[in-house]
Amino acid sequence: MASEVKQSGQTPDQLAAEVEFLADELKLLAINLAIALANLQGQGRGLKELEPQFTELIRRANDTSLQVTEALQAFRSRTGRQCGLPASSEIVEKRGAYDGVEARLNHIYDLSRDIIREINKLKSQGQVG
Amino acid sequence: MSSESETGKIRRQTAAGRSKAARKGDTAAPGQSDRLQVVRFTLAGREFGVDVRSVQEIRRAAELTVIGDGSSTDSRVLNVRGQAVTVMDLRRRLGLPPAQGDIKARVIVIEHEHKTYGLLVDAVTEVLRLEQLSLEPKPIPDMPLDANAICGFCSIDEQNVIILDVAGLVKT
Repeated sequence: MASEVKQSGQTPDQLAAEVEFLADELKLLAINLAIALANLQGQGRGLKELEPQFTELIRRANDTSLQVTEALQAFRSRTGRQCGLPASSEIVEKRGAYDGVEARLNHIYDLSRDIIREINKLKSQGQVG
Repeated sequence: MSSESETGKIRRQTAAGRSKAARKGDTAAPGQSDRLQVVRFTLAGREFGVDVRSVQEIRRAAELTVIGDGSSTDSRVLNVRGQAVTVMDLRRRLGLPPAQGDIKARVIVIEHEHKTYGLLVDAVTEVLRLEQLSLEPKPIPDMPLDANAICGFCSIDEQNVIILDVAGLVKT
């Protein structure tokens, strides 16, 4: 039933909004990392250690964003016009897949916050400029 | 005094090979190593930038606490790691029309002379390095900007970007 789909919070429109939100969050994190790294200039070792993490984070974020987009398109093509029907096992499975993708994105956020926290810690200790 | 030819032609830089930022009053020549890294943001459809060395982080405006009726320029505060930081409405500070409650607005947390401030802006776009910059203040016809708040101007993607001076901004 349509109400069942809506209650799950996984309707196509809601997913689209979620993807937009995630993209917005990732952009904010990327800008904050760029700020932190820019203020580390001249601190060779710290920057050398942080830049690969930053690069990896952005790579993963890009990969995951693509996966979310592809999954969303697939989900829409299967369920976008079937809101009046009961959710099939396939839809339920797809929801599970989305949950997995979301968990991966949350992991990326956590990594980003850890990096920013470490940079701020180094700053407060006067180890970097 | 300033002309289009004085406005610096800007080239985007990668994260590698950062160098010292240009100081106020300098005009970097082509190929010169001194460059300015700025946080680029928008206000009322206009492009602005602020020296990244003054910036601590970017926060969501949704995290702000409004004091009173929020009618004054600095009637908002932000909790920055336990510290209540006064947030300046940059639209009001620069004489621009008020925003219509954009939930994607951001706060640029800056530090100046060991004090922390917040600048409420419409959106933050990116951090980029300016290879060449004109730091010659000049008036903008339809925008009565405080000259003390301007560090210089540059052109990015054919858009005029106003580089703000943090010291001038926070001076009351």
